This record gives sequence, C-alpha cells and structure tokens, in this order.
Amino acid sequence: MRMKSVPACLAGVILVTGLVGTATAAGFSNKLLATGGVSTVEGSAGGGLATWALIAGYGTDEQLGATVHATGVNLDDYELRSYGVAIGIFDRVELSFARQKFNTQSVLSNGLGAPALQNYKLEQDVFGIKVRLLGDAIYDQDSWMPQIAVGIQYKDNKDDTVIPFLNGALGSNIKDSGTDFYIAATKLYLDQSVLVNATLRLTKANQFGLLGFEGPDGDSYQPEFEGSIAYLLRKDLAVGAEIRTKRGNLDNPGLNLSEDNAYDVFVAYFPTKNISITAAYVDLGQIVGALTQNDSQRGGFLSLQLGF
Amino acid sequence: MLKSDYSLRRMVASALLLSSLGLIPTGAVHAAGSDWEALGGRDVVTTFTTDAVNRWRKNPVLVQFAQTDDAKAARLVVFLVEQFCAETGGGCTYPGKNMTEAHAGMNITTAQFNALAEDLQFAMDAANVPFRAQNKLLAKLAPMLKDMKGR
Repeated sequence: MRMKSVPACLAGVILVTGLVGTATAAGFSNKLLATGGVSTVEGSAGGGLATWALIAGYGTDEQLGATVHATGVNLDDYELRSYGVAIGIFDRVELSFARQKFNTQSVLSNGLGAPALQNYKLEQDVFGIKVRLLGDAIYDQDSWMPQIAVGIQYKDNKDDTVIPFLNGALGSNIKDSGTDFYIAATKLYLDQSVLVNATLRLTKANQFGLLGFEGPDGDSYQPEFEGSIAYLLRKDLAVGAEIRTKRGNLDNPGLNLSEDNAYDVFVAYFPTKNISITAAYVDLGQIVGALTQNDSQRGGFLSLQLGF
Repeated sequence: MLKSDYSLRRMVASALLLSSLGLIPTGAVHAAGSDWEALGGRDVVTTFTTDAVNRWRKNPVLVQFAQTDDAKAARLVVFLVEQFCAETGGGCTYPGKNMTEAHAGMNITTAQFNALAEDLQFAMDAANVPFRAQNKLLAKLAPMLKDMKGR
C-alpha cells in the first residue's frame, strides 16, 4: 500500500500543480460580471436559497475561480449564519463547503421541559460538488438550451440536543446526516435582461437538514423544487424572487413540526468582480411551531461574497 | 398569525407562476422602433464602436489587437457598425465574411471574448446607451463565441 500510495500521491501533486500552473497562466477573473451568481446558504453558487447550474467564481473554461461568503438570516424566532468557500475549476466543476450555525435564541422551550433548547447553537456542515453537463447559460443566446448541472450535497449535522429531543418526544430515529442530489437548469435571457433557474432536488432533509434527515413520517427521497427569477436592472444590479419547496418527514401536530415552502425576494449588487452583496426578505415558513411565537419564520437576509 | 403574514409568499409565488406562464411582460414593450434605433442609430453606434475598438487596442488581454494600426482600426469600425446594424434590425446587410471565417486563426479564448464584450459595454455606457438596448445587441453577439473560439 505504502509503495503504491507514494507514487500515486506524487502523481496527484504533479497533476494539481500542472492544473494550477495552466490555469494561472490563463489569468484570473475573466468571466463576465455577476455570471458566477451569489452564494447560497448551502455554499454552492446560486441565489440565496436556490442552487443554480452556474459555477462559482470568475474563472473561465481555462481558469480557476473561488469565492468565500458570510451570510446572516435573522428570523422572527431564530438566527441562521452561514460561512463558506467555493472553488470553480475551469467553469466546469464546483467544490463547496459551508458551515451553518442555527441559533434557537429564546424559544418557548420551558413548557416542553427542555430548557436546553434555548439559546442552542446547532451546527451543520455542507460539502458540495457540482458538475456542469450541458449548455451555457450566458453564450447560448441563439438556443432554448439552458445550462444544466448536476450536484451532490452531503450534510453533516453536528446537533446533539434538538434531534435527540425530537427522537425522545416522537420515539423516532431521525438521522444526523444526509445526502441531497440535484439537477439544475439556468438560463440567461439576455435580450429580456432576465435570468431563470429551475432545480429539482432529491432529499430526505427536515428543514434543510437543520432538523436532521428522515423521520417518523417518511424515510425516502422526496423531489423538491427550487425556482428563481432575476431581472437585471444594470450590469451590476439584479432583483429577483425565489421559491424552494420543502416537506420534511416530521408532521407531528402536537409540536407543530410540519414544514412550509420557503420564499425570498432579493436584490444583489456586484460593485466589482471581487465583491457582491445580497439583501433579501425571506419567509421560511413554520419551524418547530411549538417552540415559537410565530407560526412562520420571516426576516432579513444579508450576504457578503468575496472572490475572484 | 394573520393571513396577511402570507402576503410575501403569495406575491413571490404569483410572480414566479405568472412569469413562467409569460403573463408578465419581462421583455421590453416593443415600440415601433427597432433595436438598432434603441441603440441610438448610426451616429451613436459609430461613436461607441470607435470607442470600443480603441479600448480593445489598449486591452492587455486582447493581444490580437496589439498590431492594429489606425487605418486597420477604422476599417474594423466600419465593418462592425454594419454588422451591428444587420444584427439589430437596422436594415443593413451583413458586409463580409461570417464570424468563423473572419476569425480563422485568431484562437480567441473565452477570456478574450469576454474582454471584447466588457470593453463594448464600457463604450456603450460612455455613449449613454440604455442597458436593455445594450443587452439586445450583446444577445446577438454572445453565440459568436462558439465560432470564434480556438480556431
């Protein structure tokens, strides 16, 4: 094994060095402004909630690109933070990572005999890979063909309080990790100054995985839809709206666990290729209604992205 | 909570649905004028095309233009204005060779193609061409990347 792994490792290093060398020689950041999208809360390139077929960063088909993001979502009863990085390789492959922190703040846990649920900071890591298969969202203006990409997101929820509480209350076996599979189609209608995206995601997640995966009311993959429409006001400014369906596998009426679809309206500003700012108003629907004063979680979304 | 809490989701859902059905006019309302007229007609197009070609000659990414002298640049402007006119319904006939022939051997990369587009955008901005009219022209030019790349 050792004898084999050393040459394999060397070959890997040489390959990566070669790729980086080729890409560096081809320069940086020559994709057109805004054509890398922004960062979703799951770390991949897209809108704020919906993952798109675009590859992160400003690298062309001969270049590397990368982004980092910090996003805050302040909901009525909860807070969500997301930090992450994405790398675009030759405008073909995207590798992404995001760490999500979900703060339960002052939820109404005492009535349930679970004070540990208050001010609990739940963490989830999302590892993603996306591959562009067909089409080009930007250049194929003479064709109906969108840019199509497929991807996988592996989600590792590090929670040791909420999921055990739910499993105790429901007598269930909610998992703390899961894998989503998606196919995304993105098209820029440049002569209309409009960008449209549609994504189909197969998932077992409850509330994006923040409440784990599978549950008493389902343990198989369900298809969910992510749709976005953006209107370009200027080359550096877009406004739009998104919908993301989610059902989850928790329907317990006593704890008000059923989920609603998520919506947002956003404005994204790209002052340069190295920075973008996205502000949105989101409605994520009910999230464990028994713990909250509001039966729908709405609030502001603010995201900063840096990259090249 | 009150039903009005759901106004955002209703609004977003309706907008997405209506736009997908084509019921919201996402495009420009087509007035009598052509896209050529929206660009500003021959005078404005000549102005921004001259500006764009000058920017291309100074752009370090566009090594192909390093040797372009003033006479050659002037011929290129005339050629491009006719092309833009033909592409945007200005009633011109496309003058010369097609894109594949015109760029044979140029070996244009995506980065260089985008540099052409960005300089053209800057030039159109400088000439106060409305953003939507710019995009109508760029939509006609974008597919040419396929013909110009690596040939």
